[in-house]
Amino acid sequence: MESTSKTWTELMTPFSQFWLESSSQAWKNWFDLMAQGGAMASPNQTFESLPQQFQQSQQFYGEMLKLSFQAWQSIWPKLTANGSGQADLQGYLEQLQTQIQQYASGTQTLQGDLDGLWQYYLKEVQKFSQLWLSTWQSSIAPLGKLPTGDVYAWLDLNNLYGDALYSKNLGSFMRSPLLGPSREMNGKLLGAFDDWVKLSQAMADYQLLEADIQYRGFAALMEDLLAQAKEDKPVKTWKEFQQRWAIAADQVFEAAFCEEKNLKIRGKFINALNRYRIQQQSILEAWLKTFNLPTRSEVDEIHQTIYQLRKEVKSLKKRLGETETNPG
Amino acid sequence: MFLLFFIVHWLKIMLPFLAQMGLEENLHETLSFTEKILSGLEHLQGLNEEDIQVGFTPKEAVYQEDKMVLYRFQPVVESPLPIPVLIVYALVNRPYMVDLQEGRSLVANLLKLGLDVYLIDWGYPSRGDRWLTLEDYLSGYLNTCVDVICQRSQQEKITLLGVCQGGTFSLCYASLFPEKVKNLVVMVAPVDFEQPSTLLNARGGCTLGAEAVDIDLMVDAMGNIPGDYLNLEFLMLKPLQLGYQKYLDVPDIMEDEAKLLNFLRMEKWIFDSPDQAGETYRQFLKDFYQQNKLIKGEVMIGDRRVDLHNLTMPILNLYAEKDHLVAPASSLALGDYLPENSDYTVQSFPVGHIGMYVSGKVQRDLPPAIVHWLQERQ
Repeated sequence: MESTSKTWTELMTPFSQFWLESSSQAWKNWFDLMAQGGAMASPNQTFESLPQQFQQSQQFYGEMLKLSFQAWQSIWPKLTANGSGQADLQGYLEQLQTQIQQYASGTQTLQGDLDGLWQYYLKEVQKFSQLWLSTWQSSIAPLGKLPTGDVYAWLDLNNLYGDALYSKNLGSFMRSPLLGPSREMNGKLLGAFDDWVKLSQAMADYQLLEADIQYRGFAALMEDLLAQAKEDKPVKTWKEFQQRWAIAADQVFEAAFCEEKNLKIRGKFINALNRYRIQQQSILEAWLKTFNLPTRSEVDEIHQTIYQLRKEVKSLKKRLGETETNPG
Repeated sequence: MFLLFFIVHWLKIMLPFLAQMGLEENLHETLSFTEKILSGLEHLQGLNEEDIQVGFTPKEAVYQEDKMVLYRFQPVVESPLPIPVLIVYALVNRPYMVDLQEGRSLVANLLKLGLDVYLIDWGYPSRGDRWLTLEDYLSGYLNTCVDVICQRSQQEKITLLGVCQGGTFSLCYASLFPEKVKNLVVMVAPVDFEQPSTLLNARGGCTLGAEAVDIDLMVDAMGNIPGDYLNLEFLMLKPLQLGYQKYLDVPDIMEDEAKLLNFLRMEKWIFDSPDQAGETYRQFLKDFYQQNKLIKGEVMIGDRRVDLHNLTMPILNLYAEKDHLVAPASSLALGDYLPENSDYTVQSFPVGHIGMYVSGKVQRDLPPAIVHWLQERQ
């Protein structure tokens, strides 16, 4: 029994940690899929990519399954030895829930720190920004090679002019995000940031819900296993264990997501994700316009025109056919 | 390739289990298991995408319009029944499910029993199809296919066999063009979409509408709705059973190449999901799932209203008793909205949604049920 207790304690941390990781990973995959969705050109690509995504998720679920099984193996001897399995289980589940709540409060703290969020957001979009920034930098770099051979004098003069005549009065006024030539882009960036904050909040809510459902799924499994044990039909094989786990967890999942309050949390997340995507596209379109490249809106417009023309041609062909068949 | 990864990963995970349970002491079982894996790996290494063939019944394309193709399967009896049958499949997933492989083919069984069978393949919509509407699909492609079949078979009317979402489409079409539909067979077809205890409907917004998922926002954000998103939605209805548990049985079938290929064919079908044309998806989700307009008689296809009271032709409604995608209650609701004294028959099968196409028992009983019903109504 001694060794069993030791295993039990050792299991706590990695198990709950993995629980949370599996949830995060699953949703990271979800995001990746959403992002990749439009790029899936051929059915073969589709066939290959999704299983790969699932392979990653399965890796996490597999680890979770392993740890769950080990947890059950720890509970089982206690139950048979002194009947304290129920209490142990309760204690275990409470610890798990506490850890999930700690994770929750940590995430919420981040939500409250706007400066931190902004920094994080900038880091997230850095790759995107880099695309235009490097192009822009390379385009202005040759300006430094002025015929005079020394650009610094010019820069000093420029700075003097900027400080004295511009920054101290009109400049600060013009730096308002609602004014000036960058007004539109600033508005889009701020809008995207706003939607990103909302998405982060909605995602955190959703992850908490997922974690809670996983917790409840695990609790349902343990209740099922205890009930089996009391009927003298303890689960001993990994295969039966995983089958019971999958069924119990899916039942909890299904019931939870048929509840309106949970559907609203999920809906808020999906809608926030789509709003943010629209904002991203809007920013991207602004930059594409800057470089005189076609935007998605323009391509959509072309597609719509072709679609309408195609319909018109079909309709005309049909009428022509009817006229030819019945000339009178 | 994926399965190879999976097996290696599976071994990594499961070996500690086996060790824990003391299976290492059971040499015979361990060896047997290892043999299965090794033999299975040999089979896997020898397989590629071309080996996972689907749709084995000979057929010819008789009409094509844009990405849509109308196929006619080669009849296998000398004198098929005069009224041809057009299978209308869903836009979600591919229609070869009705002809997946030898021994698991609804089409092959219908042909053997003397039907003349046609099938619409809607194709894979691309960005250029983003503006296609339900009207284009029903009053356009489907209606033209019916005309083509009528012309080829010298018949004024044909039989429609609508499957799943294709069943809902067939109901709408038959309501708009009753003069062209001799008999209507619908299979696992959703009719009443307000099913709060069915996860697919709940997530689609049958109770909350845009609060559950704002379809306008989604279509505006994505244009076409990615097939992979839909796949994930379907898998998330039973995330562990569909995403994990089913793969744990793979080592047991890997050593048998035929069984492994059966599994891979089903995998191919499951993940072979076309993107959904944005405007069609918008209307279908909003009008059907979120506002349940079909049974209210409020669905508009173009400027024409779908009224289920127009369904004056004989109707056979087939549903699956354990269907987690289309609740039996959803299909059964059809009987409440038909005209009085309709020739309406209902038959159920003790399987789930997919079992309707591939279960051996259903494939033994379902095709004769359809053909017998049709023979009485030629």
